[in-house]
Amino acid sequence: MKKIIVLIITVLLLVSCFSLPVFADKFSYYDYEYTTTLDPDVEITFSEDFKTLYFGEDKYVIFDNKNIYNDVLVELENNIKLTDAQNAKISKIELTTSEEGALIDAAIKYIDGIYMEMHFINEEYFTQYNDLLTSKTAQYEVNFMYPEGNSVEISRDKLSGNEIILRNFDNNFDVIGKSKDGRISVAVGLLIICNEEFYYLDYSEAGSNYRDYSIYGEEIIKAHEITDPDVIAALKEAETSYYTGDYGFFLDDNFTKNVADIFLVIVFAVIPFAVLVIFTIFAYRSKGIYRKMNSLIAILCAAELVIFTIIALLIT
Amino acid sequence: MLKKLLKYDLQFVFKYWWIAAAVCVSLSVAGGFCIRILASSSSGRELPAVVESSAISILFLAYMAFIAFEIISVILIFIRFYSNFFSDEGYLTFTLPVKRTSLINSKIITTVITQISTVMLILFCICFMLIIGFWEGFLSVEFWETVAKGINYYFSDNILCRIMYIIEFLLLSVLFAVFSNLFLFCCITLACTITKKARVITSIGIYYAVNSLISFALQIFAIFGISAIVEYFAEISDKMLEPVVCLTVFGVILLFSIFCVILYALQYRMFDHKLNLA
Repeated sequence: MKKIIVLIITVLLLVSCFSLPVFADKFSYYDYEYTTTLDPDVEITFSEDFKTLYFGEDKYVIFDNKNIYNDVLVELENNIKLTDAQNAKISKIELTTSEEGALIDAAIKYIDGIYMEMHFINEEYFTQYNDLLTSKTAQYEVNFMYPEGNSVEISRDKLSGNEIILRNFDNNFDVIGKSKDGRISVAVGLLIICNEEFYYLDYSEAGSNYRDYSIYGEEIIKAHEITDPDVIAALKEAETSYYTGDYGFFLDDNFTKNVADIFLVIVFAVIPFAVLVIFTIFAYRSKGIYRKMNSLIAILCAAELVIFTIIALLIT
Repeated sequence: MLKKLLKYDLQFVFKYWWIAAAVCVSLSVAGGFCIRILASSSSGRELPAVVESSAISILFLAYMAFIAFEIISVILIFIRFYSNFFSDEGYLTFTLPVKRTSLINSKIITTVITQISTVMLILFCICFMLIIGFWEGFLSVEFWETVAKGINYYFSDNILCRIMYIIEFLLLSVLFAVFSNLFLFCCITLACTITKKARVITSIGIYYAVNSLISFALQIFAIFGISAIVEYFAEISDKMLEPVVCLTVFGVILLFSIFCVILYALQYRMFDHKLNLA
């Protein structure tokens, strides 16, 4: 019987030793496969001058603005249909796209040996981007990440206010002329919340540099105060629910603190209380020296609970 | 009868304790002179390598002697406990006209006296070594002025809390010594009630098993509890901080007291019902 148990344990150990590297391999960071939302069955065509790419009915125009250039990671295996004239000049085209499919890179090799890389962007996306930059967009939507779906719509005409300068000190921002030691709690698209006050970035002032960039990399940021009371009220309500949203116990930012609080309560209150109850019962049922010892333990537990209560009241 | 028990317990322990103490004191005196020799060599005077290495070796021996002294004093207590209760001598011990509580109390008091004496002697030896080694510094007025300034500074603010800290520290030290020795007494007694043979090894095994559980629990407390306590303390105003710290330490003292009494009750119960020296 003992030999069988030893054999089973040995086999289990060996199996776990060999299986762990397999699991590790499965979850290896470097094996992550990027995918795209673009349909692999759609046919791709080009305009004669290669300045436009057609992905089915979607139009992609050529652009070279690096500020909206994302990582292009996914190879497109779609069928590329070229005209006879194009086929006569080109030997090979390789296409890669970004995960959301807004950008397509074309690496074109000509028959005469010339090699070109061209960048295409979805025209609709590009139009929206340009509208944002030129402030043609009538309505901005500020999406808070938590809870999901929490957003505020701000119309363009309600955004007006004095210009202020935010100065970055090691990712804490001073609002020059107004406050010190600011803390940017939210920076979502055009919205900045600093020291519980609301500011917005005017993209048309900043130009293309402000689209999808991180403000924490900048030393100076020009923003404007949001003064419209309706907008402020809407943002405060959305922001409040951002911080007090019910994420569930384990997703809360205060998870560690919650666990620590529960732990302290168990160690200094629950366990002494349980011991108090148990030893009070023991003291009641026992006699002589045992009664004295059990009573002493119960009294000490009661004193401990009193001390803990006093400390808890003083702290809170 | 407790006094008689104490007398014989202390006699047994200090019969060997004073030998280790004498070795410690003599090594601390030698160590003090070695510090003087090494200090003079560091101030430019060249010494032969043999002298320098001998001085370092003696200092190292003195350090090892302090550790060994502490261990020996603890081992003496446990040998006394085991031989007095669980060897052939145990038959006589339990036939004495004394209460079981007196037997346990005498061992606890012996433990406390021995450990306090050991710690005091080690501190005395260290101070003696430093005094011999840095004689001139200790004689200077500046040194004593600095000491006086330090004491003044400590007691300058909230004197009641500061005195309470000292009292609580001493109380906690004594309780910790009692707790750790009672814990080992319980392990030895439990091993002797479980087995007839290999009692010592069984008691060591029980001790390490329970100690591992306690260490695990303490590690979890260190991860969650201490950071939470520090966070709470950081939010308290300066005026309330020291009283709250005092109360917290007092709460810890009460916790230790609870553990000590539980162990005492367990020990008594094992003596009363479980012990079979046949």
